[in-house]
Amino acid sequence: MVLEEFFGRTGAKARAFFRVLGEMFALLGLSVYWSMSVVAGRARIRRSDLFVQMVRVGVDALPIVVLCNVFVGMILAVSTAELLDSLGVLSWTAQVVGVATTRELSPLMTAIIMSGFVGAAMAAEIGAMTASEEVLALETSALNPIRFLVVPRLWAVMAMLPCLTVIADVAGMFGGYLIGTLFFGIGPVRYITLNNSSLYLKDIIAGLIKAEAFAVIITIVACQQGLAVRGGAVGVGRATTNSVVYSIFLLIFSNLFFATLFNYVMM
Amino acid sequence: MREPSYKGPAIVTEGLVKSFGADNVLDGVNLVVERGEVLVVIGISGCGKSTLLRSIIGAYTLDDGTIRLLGRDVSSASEEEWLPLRKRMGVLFQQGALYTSMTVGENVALPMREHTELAEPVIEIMVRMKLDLVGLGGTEGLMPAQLSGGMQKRVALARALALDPEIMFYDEPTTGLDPIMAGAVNRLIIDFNRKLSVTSLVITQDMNCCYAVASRVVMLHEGKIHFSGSVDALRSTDDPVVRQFVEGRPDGPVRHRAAAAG
Repeated sequence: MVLEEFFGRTGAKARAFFRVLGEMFALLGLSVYWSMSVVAGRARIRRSDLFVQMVRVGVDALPIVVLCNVFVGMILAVSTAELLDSLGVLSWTAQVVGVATTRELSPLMTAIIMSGFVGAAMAAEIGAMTASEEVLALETSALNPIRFLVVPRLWAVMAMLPCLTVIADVAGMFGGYLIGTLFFGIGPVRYITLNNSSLYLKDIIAGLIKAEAFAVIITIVACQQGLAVRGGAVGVGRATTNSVVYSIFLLIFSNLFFATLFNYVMM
Repeated sequence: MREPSYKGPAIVTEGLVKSFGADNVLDGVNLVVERGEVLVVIGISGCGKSTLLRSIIGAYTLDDGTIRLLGRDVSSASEEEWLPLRKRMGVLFQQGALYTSMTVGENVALPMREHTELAEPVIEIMVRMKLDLVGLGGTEGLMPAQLSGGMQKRVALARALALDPEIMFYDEPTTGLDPIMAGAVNRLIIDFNRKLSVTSLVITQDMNCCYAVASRVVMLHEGKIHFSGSVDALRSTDDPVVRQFVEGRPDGPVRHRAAAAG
């Protein structure tokens, strides 16, 4: 009885999740279609919309992204330096931080910050528009909501997230540098030299490829949740929460996929 | 763009069925809206008036039945088939549904900017004209949040008229407005109909609005058209359901769902 109920509920939740996932893929397909139409000149988006979104996504998020990634770099340095010192290779801290930030942590951390900073706001904004019939009003004025709302946001996040990721790379390494030089006494020049020797262009590029995929996940999840809002303020709240939960889950899951891909397939 | 060749009714629905779950909100609605008339649909709240309007403007997929707008079957129309029709119709939503991130002027200008090749100075003049039409000239620079509910609704009306539609849909145009503002909106609906010969479908539960604007009245009850006739016929009918609604009596054959359940 208990088991039946447990699996019944789990099954229902899983089914709901896959239904939402299906809707996200449908929205992704339509967004790609409309993006192509815009690129081909068959449809247009308002340039001002794109710039407004780029400022919101990129410039406004910069301080929080930098700050968080500096801390991540510091955490990495603090938690590895001790161990590396006991092995007699304290200065490898620079390499560990450099590799870990560029390859994994700064793309993922930046995307997770953005799913809270931008994704939630986007889900709430589009959700409120859906609830107040603004989206329906767009449709009835022959303005496709996907072209009008989703495409500019998708492009803005896809343009800005890689930029933020590169800045986050630097911020993370700077965090490691602060800890390595100030607390563990590694010489500044030595730290920077070792740090640079650990950087590979392919790691950075892999990070940027991931950033593009993450940008798609954050935007599509947020827009799907926003457009699916039913029932006023409660619906908007639920969409906002779900947007963050779904996108963090999908970000981490897809990061696993990319880690496997880059480590075993593309080596 | 216009097709003067088509002279038939503006809107025809046949056997419209739409259900939510087990609830048949529309249960075979046959409705004809002739060119140039103002058809008012009345009915108790929850009777499916809004569902009917949303079905006709293509917001819902139907469970059964057909809808023809300006002679074209839209029951299973694709987005591309909808586009030319949507440019020929305007919708006034209950809450106005202005784009909150844009100014009043941008709201009214948007359909023109997107769907016409008019030059920017021409669009500005057009926006001014549309806003003057609803008595709100000079408010172009304000944001929707700075306007009262009645003003928002009139701006929404100006926006709905931006492309000179042939059919206008009004969802509860007077709900939430003070009597004077409601009167002003009623007069606008009549003006658009008479001066611009706009065919209008009005959904309302406000009998004053109904009497003021209707050239014909239809009552929706239990998912079907219960009554259809002129305002005079509405006043003189002795159908108990219509009488109860028109006179606003709490007791009678019509029971609200909440009341019936409780």
